[in-house]
Amino acid sequence: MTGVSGPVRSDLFFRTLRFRPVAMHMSLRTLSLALAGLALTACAKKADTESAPPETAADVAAGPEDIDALEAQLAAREDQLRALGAPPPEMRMEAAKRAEHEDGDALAGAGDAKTKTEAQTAHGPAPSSAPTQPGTSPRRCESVCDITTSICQLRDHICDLAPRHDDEPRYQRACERATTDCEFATEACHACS
Amino acid sequence: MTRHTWIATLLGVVVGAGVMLAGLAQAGRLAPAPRPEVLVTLAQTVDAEHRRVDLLLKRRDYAGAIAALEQMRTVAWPEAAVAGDAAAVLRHDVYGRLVRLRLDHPEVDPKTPDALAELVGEGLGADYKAIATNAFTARLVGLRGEIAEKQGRDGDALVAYEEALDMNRALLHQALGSSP
Repeated sequence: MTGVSGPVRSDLFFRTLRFRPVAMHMSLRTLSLALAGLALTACAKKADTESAPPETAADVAAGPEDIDALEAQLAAREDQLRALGAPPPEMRMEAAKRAEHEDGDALAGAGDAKTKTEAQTAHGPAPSSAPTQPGTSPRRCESVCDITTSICQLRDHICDLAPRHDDEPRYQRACERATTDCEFATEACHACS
Repeated sequence: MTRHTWIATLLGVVVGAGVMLAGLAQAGRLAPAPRPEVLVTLAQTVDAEHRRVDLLLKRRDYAGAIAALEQMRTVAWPEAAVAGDAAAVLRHDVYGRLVRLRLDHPEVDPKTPDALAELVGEGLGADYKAIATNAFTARLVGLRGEIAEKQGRDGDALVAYEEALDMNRALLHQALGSSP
């Protein structure tokens, strides 16, 4: 590799260019075609990569016959999913429980029950207008209800600000919008579960 | 070789190179190539740390939990170029948990609201808005609002809450398979 791009080789390159223009012309055309071909290959390679699941060291190490290996493989997959921002449902459940636990601690510590949202407290029958999904899975419901909790907590925060800013309509508007969001999400959660 | 031929040749090279660059860029070769092994290692590290924090919280050792998460701040979080956006999402998760604990347990190693705001900024990073909407980033943005409130900056708090609300709204519609 060394010397390929050095001054001597460059000089030789230009001399070759000067004295063999036709050959150079041909080689440049060939190069262009080769580059285009490479680009197509790269695109094709990308398609392969996207359709195939990512491999991990656990995949390589684990044979399908060994239950321990399968478990390790599963754990690795879960890690991958978690890493990609899409934790498996079990992890989401754990995360939700974790959040609840932490929130619970916070509530116990602060003695403030206000952040307990409608999604957590209301237990009425699902309204007929609630957005339902045919074939909705419990996992999806869990996700919807987790998001509902977050939305309604944000509603609480926003609406707590509004009374302190009576003269600024944007606070009131934000509160109304957040309340609508919370109601919609709560309906969705109830319709789901 | 005529001038015309030279121009044609040059054009051929430029077009060929252009097509190659476009192809490579589309294939993700020129974009900083994420390294899955770095991401998986990071995810495993973070997961192990979360489990440790879970145990500490179970024992109501809030100081220990906060210290463990503080330790995670010293991790050399890989750039998006190395581990992709998912690394930033993992960071948002860790920082979100840390900030939540710090807000809920101000008696442990107390921090000023300004220091907490700095912590959130550090966790979010400069380009968090470029990351695909996810629950962890939304939570950290919402926490930014809580801290702004503590700083007496209600206007900024409202902006942060609304931003977090927008993210959660998008996530909800995503989960419901509907459009906002």
